[in-house]
Amino acid sequence: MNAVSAAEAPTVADFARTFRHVQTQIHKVIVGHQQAVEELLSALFAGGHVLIEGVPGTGKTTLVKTLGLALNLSFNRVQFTVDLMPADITGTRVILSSEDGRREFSFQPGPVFCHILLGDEINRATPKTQSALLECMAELQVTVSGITHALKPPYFVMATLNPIEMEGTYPLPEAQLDRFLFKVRLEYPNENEMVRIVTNTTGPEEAGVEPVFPVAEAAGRIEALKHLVREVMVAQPIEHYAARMVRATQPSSSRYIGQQSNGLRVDAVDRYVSFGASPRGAQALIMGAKVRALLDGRANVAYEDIDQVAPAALQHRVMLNYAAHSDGIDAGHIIERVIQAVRPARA
Amino acid sequence: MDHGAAESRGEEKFRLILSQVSAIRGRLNALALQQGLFGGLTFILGAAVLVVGAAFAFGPLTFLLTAVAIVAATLAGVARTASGAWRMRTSDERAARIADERAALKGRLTTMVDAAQVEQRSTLWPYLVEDTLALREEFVAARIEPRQVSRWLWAALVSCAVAAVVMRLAYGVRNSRLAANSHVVSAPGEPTVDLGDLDIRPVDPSREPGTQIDADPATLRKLAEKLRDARHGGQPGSPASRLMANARDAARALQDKLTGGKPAASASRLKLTDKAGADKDGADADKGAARNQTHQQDHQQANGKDSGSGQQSDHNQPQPSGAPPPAPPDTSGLAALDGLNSDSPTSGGSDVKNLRKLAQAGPLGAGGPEHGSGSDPRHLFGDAEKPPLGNDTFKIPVEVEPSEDGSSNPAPPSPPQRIRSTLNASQAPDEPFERASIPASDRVTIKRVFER
Repeated sequence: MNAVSAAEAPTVADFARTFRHVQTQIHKVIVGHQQAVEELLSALFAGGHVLIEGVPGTGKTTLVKTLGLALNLSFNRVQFTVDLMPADITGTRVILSSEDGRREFSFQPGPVFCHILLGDEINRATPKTQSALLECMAELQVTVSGITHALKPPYFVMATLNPIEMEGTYPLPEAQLDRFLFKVRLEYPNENEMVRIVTNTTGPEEAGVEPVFPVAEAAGRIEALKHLVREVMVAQPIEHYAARMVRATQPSSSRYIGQQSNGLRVDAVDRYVSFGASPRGAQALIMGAKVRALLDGRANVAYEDIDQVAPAALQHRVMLNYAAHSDGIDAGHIIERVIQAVRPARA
Repeated sequence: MDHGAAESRGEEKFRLILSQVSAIRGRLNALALQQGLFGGLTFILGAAVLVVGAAFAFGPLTFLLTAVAIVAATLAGVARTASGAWRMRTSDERAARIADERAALKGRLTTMVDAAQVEQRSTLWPYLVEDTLALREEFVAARIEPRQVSRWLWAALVSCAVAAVVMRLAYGVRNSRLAANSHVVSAPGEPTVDLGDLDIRPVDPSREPGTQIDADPATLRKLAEKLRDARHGGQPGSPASRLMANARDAARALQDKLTGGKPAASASRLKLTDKAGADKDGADADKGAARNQTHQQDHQQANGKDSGSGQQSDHNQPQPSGAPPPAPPDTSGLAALDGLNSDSPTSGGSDVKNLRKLAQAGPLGAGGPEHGSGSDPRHLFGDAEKPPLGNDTFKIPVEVEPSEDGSSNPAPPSPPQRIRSTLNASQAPDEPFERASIPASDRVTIKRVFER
């Protein structure tokens, strides 16, 4: 149903045009956050999931909701709380009585059965509930009572994190953080943006979002665009560059990795990082870079694409140690230093 | 059919792009080769200029050390340049990467060259080929690398010019030195010793031929030792000093080849000329009679004849007669010479004996029984012997003797120079007074004054 014929296969130009169109629709509602929206859409077309971090009131939920509307895909929202159970999001078997009076167990799908899922304040749920999302995100399926239920592509999870009010929260485990392709930061709006937000949201009319795709075609068109992203070519030197960058996020003293064969040492990493990015980080770099290449009208990835997606792709995969927290060093700073260290190795 | 034609057109375009990449690679490799060649040439020529300059500027040992340092630096420079050129050599992949960077092609060429080896190409491959071909003006070889000639060429040309000038100058100086030194020929078998560290001075610089050498006993001892060493092949005893002497000889030989040798003035040799007289110890006391007389240059000895023939030639030299009688011998340096004789009765015997005889002859101006052959009365008669043609070399017969004052009171090298300064208006130039005629009345008075 969602398959797109060869004649309808999107071109590089189609991709860029569609992308910009969706972006425009989102910005009808969302004021500012250009980079965040671009990263969000990049993650969607790269087939990944996004972790959104921002203080309250910066439009996290609105952004996700607007995206669902613009893409004309099914959208669910789950407010994660401390008493939320896994079955509350995946679904559970309930006893239903049929017309003939017989009672039987039937699977009632949870909110994860949709195209776009918003997990609001995911760090307020217990790790058990958080990890219930792992299977959905990684394998696009849900297993309940030994029965596996497939999720319909495209499947896109957006989880929000509130960096303040950390009391009573459960920081996401590394394994779950690693499953998010990008981590997007929503910055606090400046004065002009705030005025526009107030104007747009306090008037008699709310800004409307026009869907980019018809409902029937939306999933298929998005899947075709995702397939196009995978067709973008990457030269081996650029793959090596991405791999080198990911390896450079590992401290040289780490006992979890082997000998650093490239001999690249970054002082900031050695000092402030307890564990660096996993191979999923390299995958995220390449996939994000492919989207950026298509947006630039290219069928190949450039070094610049890798550099541009590196902060979003790697910062949530770098585990900082106590020295970093005490010195006020954040992951973005570390990634910046890593890029500077790896850049000379291009030639 | 259409698909096949489109595919072949795509391949054709792809080959066109690859040919441009190959052209870039060729240009970059040519530059690398030029860097290696011209860089090496620059270093070698520069080193040659420095070595020639050092040959003219320094003494043998300093020259040797400098030359070794220059050669080492040159080897390091050549190796570095060669390795730099080797690193600059370019493959298609590297040429594509360089072109991507210089033409801001964002990895298009790198991806194409990389994908050329892949059988299963992406569906976006035709798009990439068209996209890259549309930018082919951006990556022509002349735009990626405008230079066809390495900058090292200019360095090589400059070094060539400098080397040519220096070599020409050096060649001229060398030829002139060779011409000047052609009359100074070392006689085979004659010991030549380095007197550089000996403090020897001529007693009277105005006495050109047969200059007598005045030195203290220690200097005489050193001179005797040097003569003895020279008799043994010029090699001192210890291996280190022998090695040093060999190194110095080699350096000097190279230096002489480059510079044509030191100017003749600095290559004068000292030689004891009364070897034969020493052999005939005490034979003829009259030989010391002309101790104070000027000693003649012995052309025959310089011609390589042995001392006996030299002696014969001396027979024909006219010598002034009536020399003052020999003065009592000065024995201040004699003990040293005696010590030398007793130390090595066989090795340097004749030379030491010569020195001893000279020392016994007394201070400057005193005659002695073994005085130089020029004082032999037998040489006062007979025809003057012509020096052989084509041989302008000569030797200064040197007599050395101990002196009381040694080298602490050197003789002035020459009479003080007259200094003239301009006169003021009230001054008159010095002019000799005309001899006045003495009146007859004063003559008696004047005579009395002078007699007083």
